Amino acid sequence: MVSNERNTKVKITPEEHLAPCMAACPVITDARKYVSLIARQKYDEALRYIMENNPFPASIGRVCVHPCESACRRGQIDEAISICSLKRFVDDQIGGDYKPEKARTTKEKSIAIIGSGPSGLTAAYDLAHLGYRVSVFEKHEKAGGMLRYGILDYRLPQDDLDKDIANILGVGIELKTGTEIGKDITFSDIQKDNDAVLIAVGLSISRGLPLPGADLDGIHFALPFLEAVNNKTYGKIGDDVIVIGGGNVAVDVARTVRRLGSASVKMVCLESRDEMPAHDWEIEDALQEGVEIHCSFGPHRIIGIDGQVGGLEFKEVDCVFDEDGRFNPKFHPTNKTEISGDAVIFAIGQGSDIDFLNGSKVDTNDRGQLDLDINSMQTSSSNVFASGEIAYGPGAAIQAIASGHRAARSIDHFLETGRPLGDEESKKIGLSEIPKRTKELIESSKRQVMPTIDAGERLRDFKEVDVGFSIDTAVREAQRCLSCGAGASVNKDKCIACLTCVRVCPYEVPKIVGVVANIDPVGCQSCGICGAECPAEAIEVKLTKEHLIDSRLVEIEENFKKSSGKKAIGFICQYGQMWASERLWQVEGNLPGNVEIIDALCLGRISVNMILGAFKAGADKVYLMPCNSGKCHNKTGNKLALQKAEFVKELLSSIGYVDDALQVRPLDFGTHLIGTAEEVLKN
Amino acid sequence: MIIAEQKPLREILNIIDKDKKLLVIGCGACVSICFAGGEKETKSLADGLFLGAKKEGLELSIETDMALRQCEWEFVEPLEDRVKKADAVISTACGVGVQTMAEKYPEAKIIPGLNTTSMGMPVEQGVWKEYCGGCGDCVLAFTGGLCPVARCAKSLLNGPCGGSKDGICEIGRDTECVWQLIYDRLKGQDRLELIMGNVLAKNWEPARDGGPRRTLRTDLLIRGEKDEEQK
Repeated sequence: MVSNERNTKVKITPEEHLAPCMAACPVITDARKYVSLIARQKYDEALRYIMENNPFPASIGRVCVHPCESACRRGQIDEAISICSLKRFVDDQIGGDYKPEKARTTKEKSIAIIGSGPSGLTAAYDLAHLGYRVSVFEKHEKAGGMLRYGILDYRLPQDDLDKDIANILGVGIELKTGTEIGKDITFSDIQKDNDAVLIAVGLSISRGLPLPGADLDGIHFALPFLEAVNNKTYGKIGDDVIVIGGGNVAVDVARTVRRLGSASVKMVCLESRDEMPAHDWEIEDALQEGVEIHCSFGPHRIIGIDGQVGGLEFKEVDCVFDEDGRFNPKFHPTNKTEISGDAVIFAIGQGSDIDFLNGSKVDTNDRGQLDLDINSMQTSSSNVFASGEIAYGPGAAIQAIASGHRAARSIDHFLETGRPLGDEESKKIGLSEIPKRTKELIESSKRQVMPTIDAGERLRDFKEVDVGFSIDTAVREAQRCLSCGAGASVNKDKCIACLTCVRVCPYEVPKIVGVVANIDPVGCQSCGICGAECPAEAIEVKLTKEHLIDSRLVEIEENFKKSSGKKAIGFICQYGQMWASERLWQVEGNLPGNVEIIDALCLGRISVNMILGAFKAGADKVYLMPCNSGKCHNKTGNKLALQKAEFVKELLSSIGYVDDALQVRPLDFGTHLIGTAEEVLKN
Repeated sequence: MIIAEQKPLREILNIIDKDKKLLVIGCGACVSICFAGGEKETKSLADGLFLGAKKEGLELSIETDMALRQCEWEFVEPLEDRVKKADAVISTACGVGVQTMAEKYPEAKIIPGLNTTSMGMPVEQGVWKEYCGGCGDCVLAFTGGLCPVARCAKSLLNGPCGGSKDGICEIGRDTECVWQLIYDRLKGQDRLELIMGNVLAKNWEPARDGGPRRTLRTDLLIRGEKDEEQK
């Protein structure tokens, strides 16, 4: 169940060290947190953190440009975590029904949102949660905007988008599809009937170029083309198709054309291969699917044969950007080339369609763009706001979502105070580079790659290319996360500078600075060992705290009170359980009734007091399942866990506990979790 | 620093007898560093006692608290209310802290939770060794910085006994013969002459042999200077 208590305004305190993935994300998704929950196979909770700032988990998990991965510090060791694919994995596991709670309408005011793309629906979602009545107007038959009509099923299946939208609308948002503003209803009526209006119509018009031959038969434009294919009103447009443009939309168009059966698709763009605005992984997919890419060429003339497109003549580009980095292409004076083609699709940029504002008090500038305050996103008409691509220009879906959040905050602020929202730029500072010595101490581990269907098979239809992670793959991938920023912090009032942390840290991070220990978050790997060992209880490890072991013990104590017979609690290493013959998620519900499992990312974070706490909670038997020696994720975590077990065993035997009250059951190839639990109970 | 270790739980359980409400007071100084009586060990001792009593069918109520240094009146003073409410107080400080508690709270039943063993240092994580015997007349200047009083089983001052073999003391493999270490170090420094002469009999009066020791700095006294000087 996704809680209503959402964080529509992410608060970052200046001293907080953000995981770089979080700092890089336009909506500041706490990726580190949901990835660590996946590493512990807790998908419901993972979804909660994903949805805290992103109401489109299924869609964004498939199409996000994932700046988080570019920032991921695992990339400094080997390769970044597949964060985006892990987000999608959570959606795959949950099955798309997030059971949204109905938002309570607590305010009298109503808001109209024009456009149901990622920006408009995000704003609608937030505003509904803030207590407003929200209506969304969409000119198409279905909601989703560019996610619906600009992206084909092979990247984002309509069903998955439908799930996201159903969950968003499920909070209590009125959606009016097939309603075009300025045609079915006037803008002034909408403005009159509502306390605020948000324009989130995106950039829905594809631009062309005034080239000779641009009026020939066989000329198409990217967005109408993609929309028509999506609506299945378009089929194959030619055997030898030329796509003009080098951005992501151009790549999408080219890949779509291939799927429609065109034998040859050539992309032509001004930029060199390195300068192409399309993402590398998109280009890679296109190349795999047989798309040809012709870089550093500018279209000069469309060649006509009997009124029909016959090819393209283009000029060689000397450079695309000037010395100041501005787009200012220069062409070679003479070098020209021709390629053949029976259709041309322009995918060179998009424009806005805001004719419905004609006659309203919403001003546009001399370039036909909305006149907008960048902080409040307010137009010249104080209760009319804009968000998404119409406000900021072309961008990724996640940026549109971020813009939707901001618009919602701004509208709420304006309706509550009568004043425009000011500059609320928060400083998002991610942790800097991992220190050299720490890097040397971190084990390398290979990134799990998203499995895809074969390039040849892909072209047969519009089936989704990415297959999705299996549970094992996803959990292994998530376990590569360095848990940046979830590590140790020292309570300086309690620290006694005993040097324990300095001595036990497998990554050599803690240092005594002045009279107390300092554990630099830049290097800390969140293994939790110092926290478990510190004799003064002066170290709190965020990730250990997130394991909620104390509250689990309280919960278990209550459960145990209700049952009779022998009871056991097992502490299991989540890294080590990947060696076992079955996974924790597989055995949940099948364990003997009186056995409770507490999982941890490395048992090095389990303290003596936690083990004793398990006995206090009512366990007759407690068992530790550390990873097999020599395979410890944190080098010494399992060794310390084993030693603690010996220490506690001795202590228990001195007070009358039987020898096997505390047992160690290392995880190895083929360890049976259920069998082990049964044996522990039996002995 | 002072080294201590926790008493066996069984021994403490026997001492607390029928006391039901216990207060375990830890110390934030030496015994925290040697993992005997700091905040974490205080809690684990409390848990151990709870579980031990439970095994015998007794339900103990145990609270824990800390003193920054239990060997100071001022730091144990804030514990008054909690001490008064407890049937017995277990001090996980060194013997000094236990006595501070007992003197501060003469009505209370104060029980030591630790055995104080020595003055020494953590030579590595989890290993503490005795380094100082508190003899009151330090000889380290003449022994290469290695204390024969604390580190020789017999506190010999004139070189090793016949029980030194291959650098190991006859009492056990874990104990190095400190006289071998002294010899090696001084030889390395070319200062063997320091131990070549006869050593006069050590005056053991500044050590325990002169009775309980009392250290005085008259320049620091604030109250009752005259009285202190006359003592």
